[in-house]
Amino acid sequence: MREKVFTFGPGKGIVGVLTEPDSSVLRPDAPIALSSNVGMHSHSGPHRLYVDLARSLAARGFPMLRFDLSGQGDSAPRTERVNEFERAVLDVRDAMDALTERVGAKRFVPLGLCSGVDSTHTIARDDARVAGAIFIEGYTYRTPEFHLRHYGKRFLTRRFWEMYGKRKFNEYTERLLGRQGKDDPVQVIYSRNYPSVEQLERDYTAMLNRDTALLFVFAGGMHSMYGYNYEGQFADLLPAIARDRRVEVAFFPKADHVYTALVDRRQLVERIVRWFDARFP
Amino acid sequence: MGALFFGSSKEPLYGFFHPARGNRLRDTAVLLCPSLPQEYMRMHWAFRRLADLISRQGFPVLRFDYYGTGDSSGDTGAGSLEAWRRDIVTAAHELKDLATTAKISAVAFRLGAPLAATAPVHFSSLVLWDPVVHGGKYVAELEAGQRRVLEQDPASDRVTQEELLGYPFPAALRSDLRRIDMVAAEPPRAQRANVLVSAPSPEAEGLARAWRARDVATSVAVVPDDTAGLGQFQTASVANEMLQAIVSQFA
Repeated sequence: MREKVFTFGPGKGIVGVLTEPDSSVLRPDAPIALSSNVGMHSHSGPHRLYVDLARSLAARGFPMLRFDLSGQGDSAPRTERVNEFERAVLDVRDAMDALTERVGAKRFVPLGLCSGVDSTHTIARDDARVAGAIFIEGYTYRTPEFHLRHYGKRFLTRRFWEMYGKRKFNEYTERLLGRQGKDDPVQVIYSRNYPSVEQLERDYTAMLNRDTALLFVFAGGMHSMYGYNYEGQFADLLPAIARDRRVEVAFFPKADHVYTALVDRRQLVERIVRWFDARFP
Repeated sequence: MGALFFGSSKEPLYGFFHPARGNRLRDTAVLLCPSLPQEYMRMHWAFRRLADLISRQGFPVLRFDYYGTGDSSGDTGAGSLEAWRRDIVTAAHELKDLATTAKISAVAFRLGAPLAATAPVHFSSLVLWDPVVHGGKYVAELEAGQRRVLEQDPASDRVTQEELLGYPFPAALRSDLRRIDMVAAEPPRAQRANVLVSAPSPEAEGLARAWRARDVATSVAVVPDDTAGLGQFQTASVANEMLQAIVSQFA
């Protein structure tokens, strides 16, 4: 395994680390995995997740580039007038262009965690060079079974209805005062444009029509915040997509959003490596 | 220059060099020594910003990842205090080459402080940011943070005794950390040290007294800032007030 600094993009200001397998295990047509930031964390990933993943993939013959989006981590900002989402998409495209030109890469597997899923989704939908995509803690919607599992017997407790009443009262008061959602910097920063379920189905279908392998990974440990709490939730949301042989869904019921526990992180890395092995033999 | 790998080819370290900028170029380079490892993650952006601000004052700056952290070689959890001290020496040599200067100062954050203060490097001056003066207290903080996480985690049975706040923390490392006592240790070779703390700290005052008694001109200043501590260990910090205070040391 070798690691080297890989810079690209405008003025080569985007900074990443390319992990390449030893020649003894290198697979000639292996796609290159691509990862970038999770929130404000640097390209090494939360708890060094992407470093561990890159080195594990390299041991199985797959290269990986982990990089900082422009203006984040070690990367310089771009000068184009684009929003954050468009910037991320440009950065990932620049990464693929540079790897194509400089190491002869032909196929890519972008992966995203949480907000990183936004650019991964767009690239996987629109770029024919994407052979596979991994969505960790990506788009999901709460289903009736989610609510049943989440609230369960809590529906029958007094505290649940007290809290419910308090929340509704606060929402009503905020609406009356015309303050709802306004001028709240936290809301502005954390708000994301979620595609509708219908749009998701169309997008995933477009990816599959190009024979793109898809891995969806969800954690259930913080389900009240991130909205996924049972193995079959993806299949309940998008049954036709879930049935496709190119689609796999992994569920870690106890893991938190960024896989803080060592055992969760190890299992996540192993699951992704197994997926690469199976999908790109 | 930007990002680079340096040191031994078998176990390279990752770093990022910020060349001096501005009209007033200085003859001293500045090495940034981060903390480990939870606080590395939390402070990465703040360190980039700090390096940028100091380089704008005319100082070349190198920030780097210790062995087993960030992009440097080594498995997560494989490092030791001794290895990390060696990394500071390696990084200092690299910085001297990059900046073509023999004079180096260091800014060291939290656990980086006892490492930088005891590494065999002759720093012209040290800026210690919320230093870990006593390792026992630091380990206790980490363990208390871990207990808080576990109390909120219904599935805490799968978290091993060997990890703290998402990182491996083997018993040998904890034991080494507990032995850190900056007051009792040999003072640094630096001529002066400035200790900046985000809240009043009797420990920092005690350290300053001990170092002054041994001819290291040491000052302590309180810069109210919420950067220290591990309460929000997964949340990135921007540490604006503290960064400005540190940069003013170089202005």
